[in-house]
Amino acid sequence: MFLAAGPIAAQQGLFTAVPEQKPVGAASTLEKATDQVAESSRELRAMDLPFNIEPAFAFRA
Amino acid sequence: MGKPDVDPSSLDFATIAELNALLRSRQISCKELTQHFLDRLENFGPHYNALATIIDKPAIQRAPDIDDDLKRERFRSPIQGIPYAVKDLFSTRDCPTTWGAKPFEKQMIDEDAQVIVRLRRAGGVLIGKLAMIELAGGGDYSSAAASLQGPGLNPWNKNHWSGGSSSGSGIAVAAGLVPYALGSETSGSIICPAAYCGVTGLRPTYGLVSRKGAMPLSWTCDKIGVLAHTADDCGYVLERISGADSEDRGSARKSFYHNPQYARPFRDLKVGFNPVDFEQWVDPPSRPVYATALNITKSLGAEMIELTLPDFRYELIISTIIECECASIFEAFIRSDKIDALADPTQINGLKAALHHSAVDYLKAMRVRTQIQDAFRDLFVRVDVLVAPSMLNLPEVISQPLDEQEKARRPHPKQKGLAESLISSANLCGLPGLSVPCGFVNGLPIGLQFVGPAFSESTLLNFGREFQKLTDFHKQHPTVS
Repeated sequence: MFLAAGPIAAQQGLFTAVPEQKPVGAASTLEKATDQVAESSRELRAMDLPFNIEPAFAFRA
Repeated sequence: MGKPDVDPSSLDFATIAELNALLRSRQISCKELTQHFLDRLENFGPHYNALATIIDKPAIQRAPDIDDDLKRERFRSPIQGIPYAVKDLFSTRDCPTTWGAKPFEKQMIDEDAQVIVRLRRAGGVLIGKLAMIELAGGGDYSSAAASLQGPGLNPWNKNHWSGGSSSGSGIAVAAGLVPYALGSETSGSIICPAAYCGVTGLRPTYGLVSRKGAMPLSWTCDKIGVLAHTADDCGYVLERISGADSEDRGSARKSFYHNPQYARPFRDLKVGFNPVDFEQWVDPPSRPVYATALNITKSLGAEMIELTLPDFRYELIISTIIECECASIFEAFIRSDKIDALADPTQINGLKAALHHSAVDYLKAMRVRTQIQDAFRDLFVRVDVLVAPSMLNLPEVISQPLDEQEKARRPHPKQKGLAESLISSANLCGLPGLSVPCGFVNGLPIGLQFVGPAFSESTLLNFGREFQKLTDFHKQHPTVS
């Protein structure tokens, strides 16, 4: 779903290209986002790592 | 105080060094300079949806003290007396800190962020807070309008996006509304608006700048940086905001000193690049401009070495880490009804979905991150700096969803280069990056990024400085209206 422009710009006519609202339900976008998390999880599971690789905790550049 | 001795319009895009010289020679006072930029920020900021809050009275009240210091030749730093603004992600004691998000529009935090405290000590004058993508886009977003102020309008063409999430910071500098601004980057939020708006943006090494008082998005990725007119300006500001902070658990306990005279000579340096970035990955209209930018970089005299990035799923790893950390940080908010007041449904649902990540996912991503860091350590044995286009595409039009425009650019070239994943990989490794304007395509600016190993800011700034000696893209400015 695309959103309307900011109030100030709209008032001043500076942002006229207000996109049309698309009929996409919140539920379907949540479902899509949840599916994406599940897909990421599958992809991570598919990665083989040696057992002795530790997480980058106490992160330092 | 009388009229300034300088043409006010010459101040709009002046560098820190130029403004500092005017202040020290008392051709202009801090009070006059502050009023000049307050007027510009207040008048023009809303035209680009760039302004969150104007901070006029405290700034004007502070100016005479700085003028008094200057009069007595108590010179504190190159930024003394120079106005600036910050992304509205930094807390300020006396005005709201909205994080760019409707649910937080009245939020008051009773402390100034550490970077603001440090800039005040150096004589900086805070004049405003700038628009940003809501919650810095932690849940992902598909619309340029995912911000309390609406879409950041590019000063070069208001039909195009400013980039984000430090949208207002990029706009305000590009439009000459402030001489410099602070932004933050978790993955791309400084480099993107710097490139899109045609300004210089510096993302420092993770831990070099204190994040105390800045909205956390990802404890292990968040970095605070600078957007300004030149590489040197970024160096002056970084010197003042860097340094140890015991209240930031990520602090590297290091400082940065801007001493260009001690930069390593280019003949001793090796620069990694990949021609495929410049010839195939960037949008076709940009390719001739990028070819010129690459030739200018080559002319600096460093040895150029072709390479590709180590083969990892960078986007998967960084998105998992950011989503997990962000979901933990904002858990109570995500589980509340307040989240539905955010502007972008993609952001709302991305944050809600992020709660479904498992601890095992997060740890797996952090373990791969260890491998990525090791691979980059090896890569920076072979080269000192990487150079690539800052962004592969021109600024998106604001009338269409950002994700649809990204999809329309596919398929990507098969041959791998650096640019596709340089922002995500560098942020996973906490590496510094500098984006400098390197040309214009269809009237819109494009940027070139330099990335180096941890704490290589001096080298990166030297590349930026010398590149800017040979070009004038950073001296070109949009018509502001």
